[in-house]
Amino acid sequence: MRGRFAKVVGLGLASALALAGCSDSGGGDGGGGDTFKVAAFTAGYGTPVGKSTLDAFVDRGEQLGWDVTLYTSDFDYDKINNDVQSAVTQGVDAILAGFPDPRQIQPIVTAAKDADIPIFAIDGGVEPNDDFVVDITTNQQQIADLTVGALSEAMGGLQGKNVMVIGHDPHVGIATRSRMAEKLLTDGGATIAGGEIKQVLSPGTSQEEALKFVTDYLQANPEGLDGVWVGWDHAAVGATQAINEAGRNDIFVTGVDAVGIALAEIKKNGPFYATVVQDWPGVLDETMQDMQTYADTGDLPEQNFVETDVTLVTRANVNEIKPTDS
Amino acid sequence: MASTEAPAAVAPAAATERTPFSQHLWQAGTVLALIALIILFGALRPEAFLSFGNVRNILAQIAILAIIAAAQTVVMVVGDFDLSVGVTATLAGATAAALMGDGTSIPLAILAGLVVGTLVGVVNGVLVAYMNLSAFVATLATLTSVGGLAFIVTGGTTLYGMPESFFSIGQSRPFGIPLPIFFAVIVAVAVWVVLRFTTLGRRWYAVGGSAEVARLSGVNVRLARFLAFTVAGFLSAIGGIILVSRLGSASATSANNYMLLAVAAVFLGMTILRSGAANVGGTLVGVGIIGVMSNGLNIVGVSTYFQQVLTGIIIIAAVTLSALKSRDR
Amino acid sequence: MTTALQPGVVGAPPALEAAGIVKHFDGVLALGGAGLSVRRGEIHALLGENGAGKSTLIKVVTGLVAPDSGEIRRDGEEVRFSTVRAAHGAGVVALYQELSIVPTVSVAENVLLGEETPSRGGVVSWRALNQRAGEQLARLNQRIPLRKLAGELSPVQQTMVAVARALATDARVLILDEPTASLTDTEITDLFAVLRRLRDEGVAIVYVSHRLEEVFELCDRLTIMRNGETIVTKPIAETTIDEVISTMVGRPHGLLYPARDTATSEVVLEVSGLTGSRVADVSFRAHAGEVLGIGGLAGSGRSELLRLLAGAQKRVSGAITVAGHELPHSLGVGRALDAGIALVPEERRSQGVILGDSIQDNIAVANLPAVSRAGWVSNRAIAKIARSALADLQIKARGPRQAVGHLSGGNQQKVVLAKMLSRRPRVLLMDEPTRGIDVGTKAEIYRLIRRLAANGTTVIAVSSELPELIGLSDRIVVVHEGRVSGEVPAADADEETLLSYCYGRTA
Repeated sequence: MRGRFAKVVGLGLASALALAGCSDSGGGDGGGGDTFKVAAFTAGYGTPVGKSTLDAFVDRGEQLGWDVTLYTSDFDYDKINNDVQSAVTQGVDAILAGFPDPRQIQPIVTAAKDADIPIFAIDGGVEPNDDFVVDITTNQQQIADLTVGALSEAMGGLQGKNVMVIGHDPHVGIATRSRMAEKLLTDGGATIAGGEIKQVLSPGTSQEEALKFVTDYLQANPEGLDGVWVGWDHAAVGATQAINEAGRNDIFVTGVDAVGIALAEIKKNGPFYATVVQDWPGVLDETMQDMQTYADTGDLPEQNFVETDVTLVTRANVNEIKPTDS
Repeated sequence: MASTEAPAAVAPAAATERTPFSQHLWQAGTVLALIALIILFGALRPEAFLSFGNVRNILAQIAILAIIAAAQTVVMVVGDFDLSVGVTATLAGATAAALMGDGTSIPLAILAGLVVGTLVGVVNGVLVAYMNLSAFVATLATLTSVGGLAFIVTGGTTLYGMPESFFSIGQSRPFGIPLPIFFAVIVAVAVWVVLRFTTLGRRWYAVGGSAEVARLSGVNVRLARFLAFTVAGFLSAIGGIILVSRLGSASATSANNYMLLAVAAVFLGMTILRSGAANVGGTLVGVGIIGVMSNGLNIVGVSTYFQQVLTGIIIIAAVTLSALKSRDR
Repeated sequence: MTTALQPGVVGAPPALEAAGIVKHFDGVLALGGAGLSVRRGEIHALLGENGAGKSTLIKVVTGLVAPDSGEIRRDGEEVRFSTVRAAHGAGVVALYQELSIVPTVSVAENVLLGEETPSRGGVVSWRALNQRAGEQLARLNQRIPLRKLAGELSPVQQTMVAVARALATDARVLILDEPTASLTDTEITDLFAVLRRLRDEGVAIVYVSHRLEEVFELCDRLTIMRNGETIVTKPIAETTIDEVISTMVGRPHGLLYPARDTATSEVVLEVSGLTGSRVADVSFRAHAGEVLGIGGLAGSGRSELLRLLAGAQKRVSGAITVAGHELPHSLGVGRALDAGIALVPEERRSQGVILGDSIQDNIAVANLPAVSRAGWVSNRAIAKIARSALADLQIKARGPRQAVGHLSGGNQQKVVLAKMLSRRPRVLLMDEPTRGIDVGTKAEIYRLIRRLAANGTTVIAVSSELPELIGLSDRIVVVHEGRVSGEVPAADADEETLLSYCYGRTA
């Protein structure tokens, strides 16, 4: 009798979990024969910008009457490759790659080439790439220039200053701009604290990791830090906390992304000095237009690599900026 | 132990027994490793590593790990294993953060977080104790599902903007000591007291020693295992909520990494007892080793990649030590 | 029946011969000059009480255990098997009670297990595999689907697969340990037909069984062992079941056992219609101050009977009454202990003590109510109980904090006893109270049991050693296949009667 009871409870639990898991997954079901079918994917659905951009794409695509299916994972490219490959097999008209790591989606690229399906990319790497019919991204060099410039302004120049650089090499964009920032800093006469770029292991715990980096570094070198350049905002918030907890007001931090928590820190007039807003809605607009053109006429974009401008966010303009993750 | 009333109590001097000295050396091995690490880093950077500020800093950094490792200790005392302590902490913290974001009062939001964490423990307990799933399978399943729930609760973004007074839990410093350290001490002492001085603790250890012996001695083995998982869920939730307060933000994966570190700490600690059983004192030594390693390597300037390699080596060393010991039994 | 007076091939040297085998385990003599001589083309029964040394002898001739001294000859040539593989290579194969098949792979793979798997370039050639396995099964006249999972077969088919595997390795001496334990009557007939066929092909078969009727039906000759020695080898035709039983029993009672001085009085335990998975409809009464012995063969349900009484196993039906109060149907160990029934289980190391824990912690596990108040344990109270137990039972240990794993078997058993006696039970159940214990401690435990009885405790003891059963008990109940097959006052009991009851030969 216990056996049966146990089974009933087990099924109950399982279905409760299943329901909990399913309730969030929307998604369109198959439309008619001549609707424009798009397979959209991102491995960055766990990041605020990735999620909001792809969600917006799905909404707007469906408003245009497209049949959009969204495949997501939390940096699990194996899963994404499998899901999208089978979508290609079932037949789609176009693929949208949201914030892909071009090094890790070769199976999708090959499958799409074989089936003659164009891939439109948002932020698909930092250099032109024939895998995509178009890759619309932000200008990494401009991001590095603006943030390093802001940090220099806060510290009163770069010459002789010690700056920690916090990056995450598995992410192409962050890896690229942290290398650029490192070069700008050393060219300007600054020293990289600790001798090399500090690597965060996992984006999900980056705030805590950056907090530890800076706390421990300040313990060892109380006089050896003037600024922290961070490749993205969440880690920058952790660095800011470490500086606040050490009771310092002479060390400054810059980030990238302009997420809400970072904007809130900038407003406090504390160590968090500046961040950069990448115009993802603008990028999305442009991508939607390109895809619409392709859907209507079959014409592909002329340029396959578009870099859009970014905007620096400081105390001066922070109140006009909308957080990118809300 | 002057048992004068037992004249027959003469030492049997079993030939296979290790000499007491080497035995002590074995058991002290993990503690010696901690001392050796402290001496090593102290010698490399004495002014930075051994300062009061840095000791306080290390303690603050390991406080949350200590709490989650205490949760894992309870489960491992009964001879099981909980892969979901990290995600449970994440989910509990995220739940509290989300509720505060929606205007729920701080105590109520914290209570809700604790309830959610406890519920995950209850589910684990039911699956393992009453439905006879292996702890590995059951908690692997909850690890996956609860991890998904954390994404749902946070909406995939990072939650922030909780009331300022909530941050005092993780960020305030009464008497100059970060408050999380106090929480860690309270949790560790409470778990130690329960394990050592209550009938529940005795039952847990008996079940971990041999579930069949415990059953034939009148222990309700199912209930004991169920309670162990439930307590682990509750304690993990405490750790997760303190982490959210400490960081001022809650992401969908913020505490997940704590699971492996907690397991490593408990394994390290198990080498301390002759019986090879999980115990709070040993777990704290294990937590100390992990904390000192991370802080010391940061201060010396070793890259995080290499730090991760070393953490793995430490886990292997711990498991090997435990295995060598349990061959004695 | 081909039961000639001198069965098997007589002229040639024996297929397998062991002589003068001596073996000690941890200083305890297990075999003291045991021998066995099996001819080609005979089925040879190996008989003896539990613990007589049959299985140790089999382990010696199959290379599982190295003897201290003695000779083994195969077809007249002296051999020394250091591993099971070496014995296989010489054609000596044993099949054990827990059949050594792998339930999760196919029949064909099981038959050829341990052989080189037929393959081409590393890829298994299933056709060749199935063909070769099929040939082996055909030799036994068996039609078993080769692709079926072995775990899905009936018990007799599994036995056949195991036999076929032995033959596939070209076994010339086949040793079967209790092969019919889980078979039905028709299945047994099938198995016997196969065994006779193999015998006629010249295979030497050693057949170990407790079922004497089967032995007399199937076997040609028998060897009887007792106390690690070989007593006699003779053709079946020249003996009778009764003679075999009295030869197996053999020895007179030892002087280990203290005198009985208990006047039994009120009924403490009353069991009626008790039924479990193996135990069926068992009823008896036990009195205050009585030592009730339970006899029976391994697997007869004697241990399950104790486990049912102790709440360690679920009862299907029946009633248990202690001192006039009927115990609830869903009886757990905890409730049984509260009602005054305590069990000292059979397997000391896996059921009795936690080896890594201290003596006092082991004792505390069963005595938490006595050493705690409102959930808080008093370590002082635990130490007190433990110290008085050390003194009472004369447990030889450095102190109450010594790990139980470091104690001798006898002292470990005393710790289990101490744990249960600290509950002050009205009924103490003991399963094999002296298994694996040296003689000195045995006598101590016997005296202790008597002392308990003198103080009014009811002791119920299961033992496979008949002399112990007779020497220790006031009264003996024998169980056969889950039912009571006989009951005698110990004063009137002799081993032959008890053994007949054990084999189900109701008087």
